Amino acid sequence: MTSVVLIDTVLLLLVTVTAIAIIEVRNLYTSAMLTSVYSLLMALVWVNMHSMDVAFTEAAVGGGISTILLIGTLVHTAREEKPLKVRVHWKAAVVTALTGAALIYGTFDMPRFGDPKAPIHHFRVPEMMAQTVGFVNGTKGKQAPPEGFDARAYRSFNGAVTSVPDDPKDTAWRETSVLAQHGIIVPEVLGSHPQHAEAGHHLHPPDDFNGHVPNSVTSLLAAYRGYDTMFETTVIFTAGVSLIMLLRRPRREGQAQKSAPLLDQTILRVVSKMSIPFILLFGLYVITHGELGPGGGFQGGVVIACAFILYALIFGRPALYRVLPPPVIDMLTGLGVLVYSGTGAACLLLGGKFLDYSMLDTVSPGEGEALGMTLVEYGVGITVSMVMLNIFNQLAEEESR
Amino acid sequence: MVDVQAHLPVLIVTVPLIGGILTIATGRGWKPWAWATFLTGTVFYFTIRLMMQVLASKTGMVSYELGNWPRQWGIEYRVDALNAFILLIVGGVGFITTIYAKLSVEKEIPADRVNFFYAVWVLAITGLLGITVTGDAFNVYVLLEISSLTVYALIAMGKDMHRGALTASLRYLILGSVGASFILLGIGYLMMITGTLNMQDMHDRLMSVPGILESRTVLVAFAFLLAGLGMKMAMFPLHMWLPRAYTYAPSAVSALLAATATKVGVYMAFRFLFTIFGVGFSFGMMPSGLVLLLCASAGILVTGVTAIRQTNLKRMLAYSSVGQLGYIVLGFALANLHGIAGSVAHIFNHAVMKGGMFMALGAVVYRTGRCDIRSVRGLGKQMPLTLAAFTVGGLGLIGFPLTAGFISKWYLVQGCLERPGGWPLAAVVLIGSLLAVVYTWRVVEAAYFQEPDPGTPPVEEAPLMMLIPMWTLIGASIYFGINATFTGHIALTAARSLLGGAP
Repeated sequence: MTSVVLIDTVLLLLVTVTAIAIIEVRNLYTSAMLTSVYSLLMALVWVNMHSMDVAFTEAAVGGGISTILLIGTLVHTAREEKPLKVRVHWKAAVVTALTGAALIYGTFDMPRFGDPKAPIHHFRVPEMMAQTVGFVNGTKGKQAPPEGFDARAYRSFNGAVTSVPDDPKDTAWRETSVLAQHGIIVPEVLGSHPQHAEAGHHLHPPDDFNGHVPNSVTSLLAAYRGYDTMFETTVIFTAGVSLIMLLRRPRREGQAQKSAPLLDQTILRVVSKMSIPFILLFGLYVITHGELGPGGGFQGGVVIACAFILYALIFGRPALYRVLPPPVIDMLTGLGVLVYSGTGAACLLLGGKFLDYSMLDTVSPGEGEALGMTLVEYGVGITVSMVMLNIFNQLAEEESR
Repeated sequence: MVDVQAHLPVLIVTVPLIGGILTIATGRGWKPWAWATFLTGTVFYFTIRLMMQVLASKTGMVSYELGNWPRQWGIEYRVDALNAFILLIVGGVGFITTIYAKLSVEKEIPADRVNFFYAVWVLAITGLLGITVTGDAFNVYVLLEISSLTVYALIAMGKDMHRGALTASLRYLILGSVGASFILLGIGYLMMITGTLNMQDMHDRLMSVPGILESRTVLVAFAFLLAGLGMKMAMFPLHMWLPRAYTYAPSAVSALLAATATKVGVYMAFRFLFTIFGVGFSFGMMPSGLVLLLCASAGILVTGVTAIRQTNLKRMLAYSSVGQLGYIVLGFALANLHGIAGSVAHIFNHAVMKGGMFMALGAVVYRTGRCDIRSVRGLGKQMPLTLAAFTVGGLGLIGFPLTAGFISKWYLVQGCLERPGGWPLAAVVLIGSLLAVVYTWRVVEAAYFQEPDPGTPPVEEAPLMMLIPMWTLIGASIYFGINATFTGHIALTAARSLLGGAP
């Protein structure tokens, strides 16, 4: 048993225990706190799997903001769960058992955990990891290939490349050789993909992102499958709009809002005052540098929302509304998705396909891909943070009634 | 400027996406409605052009690689005769229901949230279009999330919000989420075993890698997808969410959902069963054909009887929808040319007929405020055009000659008889039609042969803003019943490409 498996086993056992505890505990406050523990444990599991981006999201969303929202909901319900007569619902029990059994049955033929020969690692992904996708077909990139660049070897990309070119910025080469040396790229499977034989069809620059995006998760989410991410952002937006449509009651003018109950707590006030700017700055950092390390719009957006929520909790919602009036929050909710889809539309108007960032090179030569991805990350961040804030405000508003 | 023709597939989705968000900024009153009508009209125009483009192309297929990434890594939009047809249905019905929505929304939705309502409405149509246009398995799931979330919200806006609509929506939310997570698990398992998300790529891998089809992971993925899709398209016995949802939703929403939402669910089933797994696996190696046929037959019979017993007419039509869905499932579960063609044709025919009938009921609700069987008594004289539309729609459900329903039932019966030992299925189709006679007749009898309850105030005919969209759909059901060249051609082309594996 390797140490990774050992750690995983311990973590997953703890996760299971926490899950059972969440169900068993009668006190809903405890239950809400336990879900936070659950998410943090899961985040550790993701870290153990080396998926830092997922871990970050789990920690920020699961461990952070959903706990806040759950506790916010608790204000409107009772603290204790009503005692239920324990009665087995046989039909549900059978369906659940069958589903569980099917899930486990399906795992028998799955590739082993961490197997480098799993289809998911060797079929399409190596080119993605090495970020040679946009370049497989054409040499006519928007940007000239690096010095000493062997286009033929690059294009055929059979994983056999081991030499590292002189240009230190050419991360794709390094990745390729590293992957090949460790046997992660299985040459015989890669072979050639006849489907993308149309020459000069794909005109993304040599290493796709001009060496700007070493984090392959970001390039996957914001570039190759950036279109999916646009709709994920729209899902968040839809949730926000539905909430306004269903729950918001007309705001009465001159309604006396409770003064902030925590304002006289000196320590809380001072500490939060000191930390809020840094939380905001960190949120912006996470969004901007999602391409270099773990992070991106979703995580950064949640962090920013947390800063505003902290402000509202300590200084009261009237103070928050002075900073961000509700109409502004509503507007920003939509603005995020508009920034994202607008970036896509701009690429289309500049003569490319929807979300073809290389078109933005005309706006900022040589940096188009990076510009496009930064813009969409900010779009995600704006919508996510504002929807979270909106949900919080809605819960708080109900409470003050 | 931009060459619209080259970007049609993506414009169909992104125009209503961007426009839908901007709807919020259009303020109150009639403006959100006008904007939504403009958007859905534009989309309808795009779907027509796309259909023409598909029919004109030599390969019978239009592909669009988003972001110019190769389809194996990025996301590909792939439109053939089948999804161009479904897009046309969603675009057309979406446009017509949006026109219709104006009056009933004014009456049923609080005036201060009309802009939000239309924003969510347009996004719901966006989601349905997005599911249909894509050739990428995960993109389907993302758009499914959008269409589901928006539909939950739209249902919850029903008139009796705090009595039925919220719980109906919550019920659908829970069951729909279970269904969606089953679909997600299925897609995840498939990705794990094939290493790709592109549908065509998945199919090629499933066909070419030795031993992959026997692997337990693929088997479980198939089972989960089947269950999840069954739930999403409200296939009997997984339809529990549908009757309440349709009953309590605002009238316009019921019409939109009945005509499009479950149809897109069926479309997803087409794509997963035929395009990804292939007909040989889905209906040869797996017993799913038999299971689906049993579910469909039971659904047609049971919901037919249940529909007869309803007093709430919206609920009656909802049960009838589950039954009509049974025909669609029956058709493709036969896995032969005429069965699938009947299924595809019935998607269109049922969309126009049921959409029109829900519009007629919405007009009754608009005038009388109720929609139980007593409220239509004697209405045949007071609202002749509305009730006539309802009756013609009912004739279509029965499968009466010269209505579109006849065409699809014809194909279906033909498909049943082509299957060895398939005559009991043909009998089920016919018995189902008899049940439709009974539940349609109850309304006809009440409307034309009974006197209004004493004391109920007389009502006027429905306003033109409702009659025109209603009769557009009902008229389409008659037109395509007499001249079925277009629908028949598309249905057969789609069926051929589905049976051949991929477009």
